[in-house]
Amino acid sequence: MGISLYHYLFLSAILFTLGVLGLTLNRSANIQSLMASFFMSIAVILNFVAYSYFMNDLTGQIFSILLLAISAAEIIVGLAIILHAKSQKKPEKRKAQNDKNI
Amino acid sequence: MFSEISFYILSVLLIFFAGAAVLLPYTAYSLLSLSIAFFSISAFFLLLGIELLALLFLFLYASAIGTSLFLIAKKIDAQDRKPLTYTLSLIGFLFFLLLLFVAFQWKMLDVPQPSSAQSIGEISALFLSEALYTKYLLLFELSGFVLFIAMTISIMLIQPDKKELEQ
Repeated sequence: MGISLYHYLFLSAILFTLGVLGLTLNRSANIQSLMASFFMSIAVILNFVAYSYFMNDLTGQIFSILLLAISAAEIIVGLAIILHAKSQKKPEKRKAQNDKNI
Repeated sequence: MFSEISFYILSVLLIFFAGAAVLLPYTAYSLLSLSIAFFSISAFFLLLGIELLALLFLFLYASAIGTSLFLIAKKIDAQDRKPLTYTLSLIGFLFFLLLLFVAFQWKMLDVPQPSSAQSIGEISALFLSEALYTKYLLLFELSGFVLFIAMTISIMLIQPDKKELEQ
């Protein structure tokens, strides 16, 4: 029994559902929810690569490279937003502590 | 036979560690499992005979984005420093294991030397480099432009405000 296209499709479907589960179960926006969205894009990339391998058509690999770039951009912006949100929370905390001390 | 066994082992690793990365409450351990999932995905690409994409994935995600995630996690929660150092050492060990896997696989598949015949990876690399700069040039440049915009936006977001600097 060899490894067929369906094996890879099943694996990518499992990865995609894991990503959706992570996005729905993590209610607060943190790094884990970013990872979950990233796993969804990885599932799509795996689909592209598997189809390009089993159908002997290498254009799937080109689209997987483009998807890699776009998901990297998504992660960069997500991380920047998380850092920005954290840095905006800090001054409020300091103000609250100062009020308590007074 | 070797490829089947490695496919099943890698898929179990990938599903387990992807679930751990998404569902674990501790940031350090979820980052560790994320990096293991990255390594297993690049090993999948190696199994399919696409060395170029596997190395691209390894360099872009497992090294660049993985380390940036680690640094930000360190900045956000300072309590998790000890597990982070353990995870970094574990990642180095995993990288060594992946290199061993690649060497073993190339020995099993008996990849031909460049002088005799072209391997699948070589053909795909040639095709990719040719098609990216001719047929899909516009898409390639657009994706680069998207990355550039994302970088500028992230730098703008991370920069501290003037008021904070004055304080």
